Amino acid sequence: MENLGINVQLLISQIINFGLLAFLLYKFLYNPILNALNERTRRIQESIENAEQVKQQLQRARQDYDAQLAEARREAQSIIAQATERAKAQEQELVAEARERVARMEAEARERLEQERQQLLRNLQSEIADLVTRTASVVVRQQLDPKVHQKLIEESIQQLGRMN
Amino acid sequence: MSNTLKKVLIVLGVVGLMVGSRFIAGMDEIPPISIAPEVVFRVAGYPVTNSLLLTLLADVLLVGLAFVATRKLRNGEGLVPRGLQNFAEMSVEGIYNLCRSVDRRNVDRFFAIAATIFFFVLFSNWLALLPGMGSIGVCRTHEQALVNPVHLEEQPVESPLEGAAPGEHTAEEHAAGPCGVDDEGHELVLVPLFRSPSADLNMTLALALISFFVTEYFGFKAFGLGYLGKFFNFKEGPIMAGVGILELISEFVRIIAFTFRLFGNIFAGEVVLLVMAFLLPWLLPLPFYGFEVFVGFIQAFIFMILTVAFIAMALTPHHPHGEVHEHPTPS
Amino acid sequence: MLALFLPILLEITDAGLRLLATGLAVGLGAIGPGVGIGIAAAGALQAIGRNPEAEGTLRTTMFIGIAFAEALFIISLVIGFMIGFAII
Repeated sequence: MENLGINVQLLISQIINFGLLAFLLYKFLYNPILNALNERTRRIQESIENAEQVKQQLQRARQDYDAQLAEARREAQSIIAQATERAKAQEQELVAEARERVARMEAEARERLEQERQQLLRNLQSEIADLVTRTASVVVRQQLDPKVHQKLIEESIQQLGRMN
Repeated sequence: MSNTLKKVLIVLGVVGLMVGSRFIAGMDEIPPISIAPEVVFRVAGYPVTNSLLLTLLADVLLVGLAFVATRKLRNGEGLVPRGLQNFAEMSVEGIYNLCRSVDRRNVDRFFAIAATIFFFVLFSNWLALLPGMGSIGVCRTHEQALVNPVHLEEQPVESPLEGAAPGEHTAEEHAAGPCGVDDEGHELVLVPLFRSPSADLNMTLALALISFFVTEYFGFKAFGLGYLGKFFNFKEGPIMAGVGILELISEFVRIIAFTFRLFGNIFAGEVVLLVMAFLLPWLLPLPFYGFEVFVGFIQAFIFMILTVAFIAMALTPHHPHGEVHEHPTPS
Repeated sequence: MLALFLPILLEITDAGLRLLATGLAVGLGAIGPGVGIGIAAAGALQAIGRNPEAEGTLRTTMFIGIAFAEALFIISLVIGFMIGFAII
C-alpha cells in the first residue's frame, strides 16, 4: 500500500475535497440550473396553455363574428325585401294615382269638350239665326216686324233642330 | 512533377521529420515513471503532492466556471441561456437525463454525487493533458518526493518497479540529468508540479470509497437492516445463500475495481504518452493525445454511470417473494 | 541444452522474476476480459440495432456487464502491482 503511494492523510483530504466540491457544485451549478430548467418547463407549459386559450378565444371570436355576419346578412336581406315591397307598393300607388289623374283629366276634358260643344252649338244657333234672318230679309225684302220676325226665327230654328 | 510524386514526397518529409525529431529534440532516457504521486512540498508534515495541486486547480476551475455560468440564474434572470450558461445547462441536463434513464424515481437523491464524480474526474483527466502539466516541475531528492517516508529501521524488499534504488547508480552518472545533484551528493529528480489526480491512487480510492459508502447508505436508508438480507440469504436454500455471499464479495470488489479502473486507464495513458514522446517527440504522440482525451471522457462517464447503476440496484427491492419492505418513496 | 540456459539461470534474480510475473499477470489477465468485453459490447450493439428504443437501459446494463468483466482484469492488475511492488 505504501509503495503505491496511498497515504491516509491524502486519502482523507481527497474525500473531504470531494464532499466540498459536491456541495459547492450543488449550490452553484446543479441547483440553479435544475431550478431554471423546471422554471423553463413550467413557463413553456404555461405559454402553451395560454396559446391554447388564445386559440380558443380566437375560435370563439370567429364564431361570434360569423354569427354576427350571418345575422347582418339576414337583416340586410330583410331590409332589401322590405324596401322592395315598399317600392312595389309605392309603384302601385303611383300607378293608381296616375290612372286616377288620367281618368280625372279625361273626365274634365270631356266635360270641357261638352261645354265647348254646347257653347259652339249656342253660338252656331245665334249665328245661324242671324244668317237666316239676313237671308230671309234678303229673300223677303221686306221688313218684317220684329214680332213676326222672332216668330219666324224660332220656327226655323225648330225646323233646323228637327232636321238636325 | 506528378501529383503522386508530390504526395509521396510529403509523406516522406513528414516521416523524416518525425524520425529526425528523435535526434533534434529527443530525450536521452525516459523520465522516471512513478506510480505514486510525488511530494512537491510539505506543510507541517502534510505532504502536498502534485496530484493534490491539480485537484485544487480542478476544484477552482470547476467552481469558478459554475459560479460564472450560473450567475444570472442565481439572480433570478437568464431564462434565455447564452454562451457558457447554455453549455453548463446542456451538460447538467444531459447528465440529469442520463441518470433519470437509469432510475427515474430516485434521481434527485443521487444526482449531485453522480454529476460531481463525472465533472471532477473529467476535469482531472483532461487538465493533465494540457501542455506543461507533466513537464514543468521542481527538483527534489528521492526521499523528499516520497509520499510515505521510508522507515529506515525496516529494510523493505527490493521491488523492481520502484525504479533504480539509490545505491545502484552513483550520483555522477545522473549529473547530466535536468536537476543534477544537491550539495550533499544526493541525486535530484524532477518532480512535476501537476499530475492527474486520476493517476493517483489516493483520489481514485477516495472516489471509490465515496461511491461504495453512498451506495450502501442509500441501501440501508431504503430498506433498513433488511438490506443485509440481500447478502445473508439463508432461507431460500444453499444456492441463494451462495449467491448472497458472492454479492457481498462483489460489493467489496467494486471498491478495488473502481479504484484501479480509473487509475489504470489514466496512468497507462500517461505512460504511453511519455513513451511515445520518448520514441519520436514530434507528431507521434498526437493520435495518442486524441485517444487520451477520449479515454478521459469515457472513464469519467463509466465511473458515473456505474455509481448510478449500483445505487439504483441498491435501491431496488431484492426480495421477489413479496416480503414487505419500506419501499423508497416515489418522487 | 543445459549449457545454453545455465548462464541465464544463474543470472535470475528476485527482481527479475517479479518483473516477469508482473508482466505475465497483467498480460494474461487481460485476455479473458478483453474477449468478454468485446462480446458484451457486440451483444449490446446488436440489441440496440434490433430495438433502438431500449438504448438507455441497454447501455447501462452493458456498462455494468463490462464492469464485471473488467473487474477480473483489474484484479490481475492489482495482483501484478502487488508482485511488482513486493507487497506479497
